[in-house]
Amino acid sequence: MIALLLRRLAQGVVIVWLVATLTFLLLHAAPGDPVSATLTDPLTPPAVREYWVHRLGLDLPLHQQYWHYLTSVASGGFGFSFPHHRPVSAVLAEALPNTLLLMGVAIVIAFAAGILIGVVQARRKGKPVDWGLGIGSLFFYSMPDFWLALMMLLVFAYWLRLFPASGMFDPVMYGFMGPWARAADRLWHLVLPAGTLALLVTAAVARFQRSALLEVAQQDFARTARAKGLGERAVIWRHSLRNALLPVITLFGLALPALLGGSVFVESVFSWPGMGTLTVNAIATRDYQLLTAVVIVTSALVVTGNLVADLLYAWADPRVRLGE
Amino acid sequence: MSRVVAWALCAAITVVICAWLDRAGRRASTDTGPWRRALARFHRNRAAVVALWMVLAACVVAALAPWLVPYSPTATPDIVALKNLSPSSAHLLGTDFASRDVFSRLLYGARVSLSIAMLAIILSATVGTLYGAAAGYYGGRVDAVMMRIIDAALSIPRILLLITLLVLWGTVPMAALVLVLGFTGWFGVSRLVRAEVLSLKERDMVVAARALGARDRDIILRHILPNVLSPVVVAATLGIANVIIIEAGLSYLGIGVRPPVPSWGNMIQDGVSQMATVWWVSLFPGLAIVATVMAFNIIGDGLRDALDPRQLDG
Amino acid sequence: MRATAPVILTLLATALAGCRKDASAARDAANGGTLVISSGSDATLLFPPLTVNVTSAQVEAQIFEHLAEPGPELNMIGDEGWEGRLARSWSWSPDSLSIAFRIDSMARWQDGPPVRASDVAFTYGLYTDSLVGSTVAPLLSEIDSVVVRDSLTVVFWFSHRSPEQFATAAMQMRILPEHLLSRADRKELASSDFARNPVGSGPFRFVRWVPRQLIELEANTEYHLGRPHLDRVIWSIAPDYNAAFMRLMSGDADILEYMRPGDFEPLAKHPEIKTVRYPSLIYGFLLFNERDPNDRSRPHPIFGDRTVRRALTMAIDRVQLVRSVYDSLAVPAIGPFTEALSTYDSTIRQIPYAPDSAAALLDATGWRDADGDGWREKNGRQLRFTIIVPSSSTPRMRAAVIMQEMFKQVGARAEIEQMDFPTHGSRQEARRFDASMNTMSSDGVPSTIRQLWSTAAVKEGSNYGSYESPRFDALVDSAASQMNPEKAGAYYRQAYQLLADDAPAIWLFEPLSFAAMQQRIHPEGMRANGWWLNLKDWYIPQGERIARDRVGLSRESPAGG
Repeated sequence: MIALLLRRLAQGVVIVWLVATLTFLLLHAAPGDPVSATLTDPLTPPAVREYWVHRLGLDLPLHQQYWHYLTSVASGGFGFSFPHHRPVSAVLAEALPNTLLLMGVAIVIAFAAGILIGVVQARRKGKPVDWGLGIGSLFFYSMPDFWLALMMLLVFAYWLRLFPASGMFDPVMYGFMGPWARAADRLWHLVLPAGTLALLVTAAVARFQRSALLEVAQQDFARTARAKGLGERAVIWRHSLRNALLPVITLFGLALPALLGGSVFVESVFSWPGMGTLTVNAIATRDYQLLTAVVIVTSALVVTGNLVADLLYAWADPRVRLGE
Repeated sequence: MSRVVAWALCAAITVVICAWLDRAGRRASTDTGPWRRALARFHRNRAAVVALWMVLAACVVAALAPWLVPYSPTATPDIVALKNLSPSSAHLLGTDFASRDVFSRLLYGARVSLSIAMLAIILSATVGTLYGAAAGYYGGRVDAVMMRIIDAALSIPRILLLITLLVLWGTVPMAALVLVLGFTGWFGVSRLVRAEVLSLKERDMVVAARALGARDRDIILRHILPNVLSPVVVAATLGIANVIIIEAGLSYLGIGVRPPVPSWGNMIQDGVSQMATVWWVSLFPGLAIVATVMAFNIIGDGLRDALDPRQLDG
Repeated sequence: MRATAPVILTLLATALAGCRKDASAARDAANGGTLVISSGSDATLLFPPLTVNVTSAQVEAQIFEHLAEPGPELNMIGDEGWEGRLARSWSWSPDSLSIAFRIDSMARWQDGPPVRASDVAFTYGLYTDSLVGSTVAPLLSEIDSVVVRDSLTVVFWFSHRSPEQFATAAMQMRILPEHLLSRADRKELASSDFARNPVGSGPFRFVRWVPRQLIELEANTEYHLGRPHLDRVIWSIAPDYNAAFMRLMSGDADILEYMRPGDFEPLAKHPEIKTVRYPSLIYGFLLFNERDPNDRSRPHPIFGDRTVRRALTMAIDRVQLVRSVYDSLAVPAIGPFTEALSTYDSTIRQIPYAPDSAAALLDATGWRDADGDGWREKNGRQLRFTIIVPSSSTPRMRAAVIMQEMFKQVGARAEIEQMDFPTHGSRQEARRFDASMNTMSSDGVPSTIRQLWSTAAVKEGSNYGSYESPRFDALVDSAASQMNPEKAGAYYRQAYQLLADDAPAIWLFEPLSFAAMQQRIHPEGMRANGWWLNLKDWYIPQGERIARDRVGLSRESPAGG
């Protein structure tokens, strides 16, 4: 088991290295560089540009830059971000927890609600409830993330004024609040961005869960249970659900890239200071170092998420062993 | 006048195609053979059939857009007096900041968004099928290396990959956009196909063909690909829905379809800065996206149910 | 040139309410209040020599000081109208080759020690140190040396006399504390602790910076020119404009520094929010490349011809364009400058909007639509060109789309190439474009025009369109070396007229800058070179304060921070 785990970890490292190399090549093949992207003032003299190009090592041959880059990634430094004037690791260290918070809350809500909705639908298959919930989840499932975020912003922040439109906490009063008020303030600011992200994922989970349950219900053990005279409710809750959770675990692994991608739009609409807004900024300023770091960290997150999903799978289904 | 004729023609074409499909579905129910029976099953799924009608109607409208629109989608007749008009009989869905007719742009946008999505998906389905079939068929070390590459590609959120590519190369003509969308969308398909191929290649007919000395290419093309077609068709239908959303997102970020060509995504972008007051500019393209994507998803679900081999004998 | 002063005063009139003396008496009692600025971008660092970002500049302006600041007329020739800041007074040597600044003896660094002349000399050394890599260094080239005469007197020596030498000495550097920076590694200043926890001598002191969320400053009660009225200033960062706008409307923020066209309508429903216009130095134009982008030794096949450029200018209805893109938020530009520049001249003759004459002129130059497809051709080449536009800018994008349609009317086929901001910049720098949608923010110094349009800037500098005119060069040279403002103005006027006639660009719009703010905020002295420069004079009347205005200074209220 441990050997297999190690092997999966090694595979993960290879994947991350491939991603790092790919992004490095892409970024350097493209026109433009971080210095001219940041020093946009046309009056900046060429000497200053050259100075910064030299200091950032952008005048080195490509293979040397690549080598510098790999060593700094390996040491966890990710190099220096010129537009931020700080080590990339410091910039990421601030953004990552914010994104994880947002995603964590969204995932918990989405999987809880999604599984519940899926179960309700499966129990009432073909009934109006199933139909209504199905249409509802399909509706949100079919919605572009940025569009939903914009609509939420318009309706709840602008028209109804129920929730704050942006930020993570009250910029002024937060410093003067007690611990409970602070927690409440943070939650208050989480509602719209996390809610938007959660809605999108709930829809996917519910759809997935419903069809998984229905599929399991056709299988032998469910038929047996039914034949034993157990009620439909018991069949679903006791027997089918556990088996039907397996695909949900798979979905958890699959949903991560989509969730991280969706957070690019959701974060930028709600000005959430996480990896998503960082990405958009890094792109606009041609921040090579930061952008490659974002892509690498994201892919590392996904790889880790998949590993966790595999472990969960092995735990939930004794028939499955890692690597088989 | 000619516009009325065009609309009538448009309706007629849609009705004819739908009626023909309906008849085919009805007739298929008495037929045997896996594809026929799948068609019959699909036909019984009313939601999927209605969704298919919707998509067909949208495609016909998109194809005939130049004859259907009341105004040119890029004309700016009076950028001061006619801008930001709310919906009225003269401008069904209002006008935007440059006095362009939103309804006309919506129809042209359908043309752009749908064709980009379909072309991109054809590309990704082809590349993904070939790559997956090759990996699955050759197996072993080749398969391991090919799949690691897929793992790496799948570990980057597609939108992040697309943003990176598109922003780095700055200006993207439509053809390149299709290529980029197509070449970033095939990783999932290839995995699907590989799994299918792995199970297929141990089957009798493949083993037999190999024993008879058939060439790899012929075996892949003749025996394996036809059998992996149905999951690919399902994935492609759902993929179209996905690409429509992604294209909208990219155009919203200003790195997708280039103005003044309307796409649903950049139409939303046109209205976003004044969403609170001039809401019609971004509301209608948004609804168009949701409706179309929903339709494709329903069709995809319907196809999956209809093509599911476990149901073939059940 | 003098005629410009009243114009600017009118602009400022909205911001200045009532009689100064009465108001100041009422305001002294009114110290207190919190100003939350809804800001579109985070600061990159808070270290003046390396600042390239506007939020950084806004924050630094509160923490650090210049020796002196120009008056509202933004006069850059000599020292007329200038007000002392860190320097209480100054005197010129008889030959004008040196200026001695007398530091205010009351000035203190925010951590206690007094400000000394040696701090100024140290600051000059730091700005010009190549290890630091400051973008300001080249602007200081006319300073020969900075010498400490006594503990409070510092002397700037110049290599030659020039009209703008006072501005160079007084305003290009924000003075830094020697005692905190003397031992710092000069290569790593950007990532130093000081650059994120700055200590200066200005009216506000640094409290905290939560990256990409907020920057908080507090009143420096020991400020040598009197403590600022506000207790606290917070930059609340929201990179998405809609979010930033909603922050203002929901009352979470007090001021949004710029408004988009179309924002006035929703604001009309919010009586608690007012709009305040302030002068600005931004202008937009469509730049023509006069050299062939594929072979720089040849003139551009279309734009190399002055007549064609003039004809294309005639095809654009600038008044309509501006009204469509900006509503009443901009006026048509008449040259590479705005009303707020001290050498602005409203009498520059413009090329009129005349599509018929444009067509006739194009016919005359040989560009004719021979094949009847609606586009003109000449020698087998279609009158077709690409406009590069940064996608980040909605107004520029909209203007480009509308111009595309106007060019079409005269048979010119413009194609829009949208790209992200950095690519746009590097394409311009590489001179790889036909035409480019551009906006420029002047630094308020008239002679800067030389760096953008003179022949000397064609190869290496920022004359991206490669406009060449010996006459223009001579006029600007004469203007820039003229010590007499009247005569300098006359030369600039001729240079501007030449630019208008030669049409190296179509001068499009001069966006009027409006800030939207809560009624209770009373802004003072919003300047064209920075609306934020006199934040120390802003106030919130006691009777109009809300909860966040009453939290007080953190030292008075231990819960803060």
